[in-house]
Amino acid sequence: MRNFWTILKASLINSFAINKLFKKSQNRARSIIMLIFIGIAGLAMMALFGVYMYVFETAFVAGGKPEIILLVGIVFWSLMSVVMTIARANGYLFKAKDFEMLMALPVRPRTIIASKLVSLLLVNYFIMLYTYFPALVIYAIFNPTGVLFWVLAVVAILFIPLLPVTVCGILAYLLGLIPIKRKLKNFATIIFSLVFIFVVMLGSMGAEVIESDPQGFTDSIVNTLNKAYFLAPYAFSGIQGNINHFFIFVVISAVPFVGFILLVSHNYHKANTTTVSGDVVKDFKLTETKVVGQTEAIFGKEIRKYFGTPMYLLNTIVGPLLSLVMLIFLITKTGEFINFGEEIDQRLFTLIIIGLITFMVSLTSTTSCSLSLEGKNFWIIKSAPIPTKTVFMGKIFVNIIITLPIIVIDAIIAAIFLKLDLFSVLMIVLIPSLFAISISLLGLYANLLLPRFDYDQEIKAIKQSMSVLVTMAFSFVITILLVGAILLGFVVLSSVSLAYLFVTLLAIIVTAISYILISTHGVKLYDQLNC
Amino acid sequence: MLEIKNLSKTYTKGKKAVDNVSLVIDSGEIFAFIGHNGAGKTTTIKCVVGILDFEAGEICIDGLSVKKNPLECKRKTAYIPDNPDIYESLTGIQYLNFISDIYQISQDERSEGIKKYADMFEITKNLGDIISSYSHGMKQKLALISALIRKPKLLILDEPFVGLDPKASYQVKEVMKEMCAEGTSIFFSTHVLEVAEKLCNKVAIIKNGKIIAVGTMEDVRGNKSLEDVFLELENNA
Repeated sequence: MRNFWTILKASLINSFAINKLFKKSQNRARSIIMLIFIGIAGLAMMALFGVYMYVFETAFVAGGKPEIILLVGIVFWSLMSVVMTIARANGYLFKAKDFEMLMALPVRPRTIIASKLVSLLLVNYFIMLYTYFPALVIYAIFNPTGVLFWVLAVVAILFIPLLPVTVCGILAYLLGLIPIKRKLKNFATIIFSLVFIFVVMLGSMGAEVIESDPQGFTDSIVNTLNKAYFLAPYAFSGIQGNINHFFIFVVISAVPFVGFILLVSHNYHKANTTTVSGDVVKDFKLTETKVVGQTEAIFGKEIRKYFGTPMYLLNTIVGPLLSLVMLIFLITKTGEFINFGEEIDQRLFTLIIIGLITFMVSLTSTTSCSLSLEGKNFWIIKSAPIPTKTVFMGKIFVNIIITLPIIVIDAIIAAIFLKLDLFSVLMIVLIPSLFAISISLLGLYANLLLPRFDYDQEIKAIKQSMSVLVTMAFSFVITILLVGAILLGFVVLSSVSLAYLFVTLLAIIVTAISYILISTHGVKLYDQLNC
Repeated sequence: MLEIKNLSKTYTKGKKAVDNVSLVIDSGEIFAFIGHNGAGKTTTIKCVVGILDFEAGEICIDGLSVKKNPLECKRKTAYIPDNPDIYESLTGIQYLNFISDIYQISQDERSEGIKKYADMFEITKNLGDIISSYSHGMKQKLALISALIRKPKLLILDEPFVGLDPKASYQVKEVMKEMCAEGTSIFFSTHVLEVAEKLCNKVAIIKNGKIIAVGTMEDVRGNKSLEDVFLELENNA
């Protein structure tokens, strides 16, 4: 047990770079600022989820089932646990950098695997603050609660993420045992995750019936939630006082968790070595290779990195994909009543679409963490005779090739279903494309301003780095400016044409400023980067 | 070929990692750079290859300043770090092709070079494997191949013999002599003083960021062993 705590403590200190907070250095101040920033953003997010839960609860109250919000919280937390764990499980449990170091220690494999699972669980307890906790608070406001309820609700916190984490661990374990090619694994992970994201997005679109039929909405939600996670109804009724159900929930959560630890501890070596053996080719023959130019080589490297890192792809393609989903949603919900030329001006509607697509495609950028993702490999490009601008172009290129095709698809969909004229279609392509280029440049600039090459896991650079947060802030500023330009033209000066002019000018100015910034100060920052 | 003049590099809070270092390496010379851990060897090397910026001094490769002409200098140089972290998700051959493309090595030259050195280091059959499946020594060999196929004018190696098997170590030394005979300059750091003594024309000993001895092997060593000289200087300087 002592070893378990020792490993867990070391792992947490290492993962969360806790020492940097207490060590007097320049990084300490940066880490504290980042922590405060994340803390504020975290509280804001918690409040946002609280409001979201409240909106749902008002519908449930109208539907006569106010208690359902708790079920929503449990299912939401469980699904989020799956999303957060599935990405990390394989790399954290079985392909971890500390595998050899830990296995060389006089520690049982089950102690190692238990400490790693608990470490994964801690992240999920953090997610609780955005899912289960606001649901619990809203539940307590609209439903009577007693001491037993609160005791069971708190005990349930320990058990709710156990099964999702165990299932993800088993999936990672099985995937690790199959000696398939890394490319195939990455492909499977990407497809599975995209399908999951789309299902969740499409599911949340059903919320439009809230106002028209609260009873039907409540029933359909209960039905969906019960199907979404079989254990959730047991936890739900258990917390509400059904001790038998609570017992079933605890047993079904805990037994597989413990069983998984015991099972994996017997095959820990195999699970780790099989993963590597899938990367080995039999009978390799050295043949002539294709020669490409320096720029193409850099582009190729960046593309391989992007498509070879599922978490990088999934986290950065969400914005552009959302633009597609939101556009389809907008078309299906407004198609019935849109009659251009009478009630709604086509040009104005196009501006709304432009605003929507711009916001979505600039929400995520591959460039905001692309330098940090070089990690310890950064010496390769830094010591190679590659012009700085070529390095930059390679990184920007990735963001452009994932956003521009989706923008064009957006424009084609809008053109077909909304019967837009050529000018509108061209503007839908041009303006979001210019802003997509801007955010690519600004994302890279943010990473140059806030570089960090010592992440122990790539997922941390992708999800938790300060440069990613700053790029999101850039995205919000761009959207605010865009909305301002539209309002200035259309509302203040009462001219759609002027609104188009302002939006176009804004797009050109922002792109030009971003380009100047990256090609002057950005180049200087790159040259000063140490690795 | 390589001239370092009064190089100083400070990391944080005024602590100098490298303090007023000056060295000259001529064409065809093998130069050993020795010193205890944390003495400033790697920092100096990283400044030379353009990975670290430095605040004082000048570094010239083949007469060109690394600050003013970084790309030209890098084209003439090949660098292998002490712990070669290379793109783990690529296969060995993909990595070699990537480096060849960056250095614009022709198809014939790269094919010939890869075959020659991959066969020499007995790694040819592993070139199709993902680099993450390589051992430390194999990664070291791959990094060496990527450097050798460039036919650099200046080869810079940080602890090149760590992790190599005895045969590979011998072959690296032979390749170094061969390259040297063809006019390539080699600058490498090492803790293996016997190797430095046998292989190098010149040597520099660095301590706490300052050069405490520099010159031809004979001048620095005198009639003692390099190990004795090093230990004396370390204890007394």
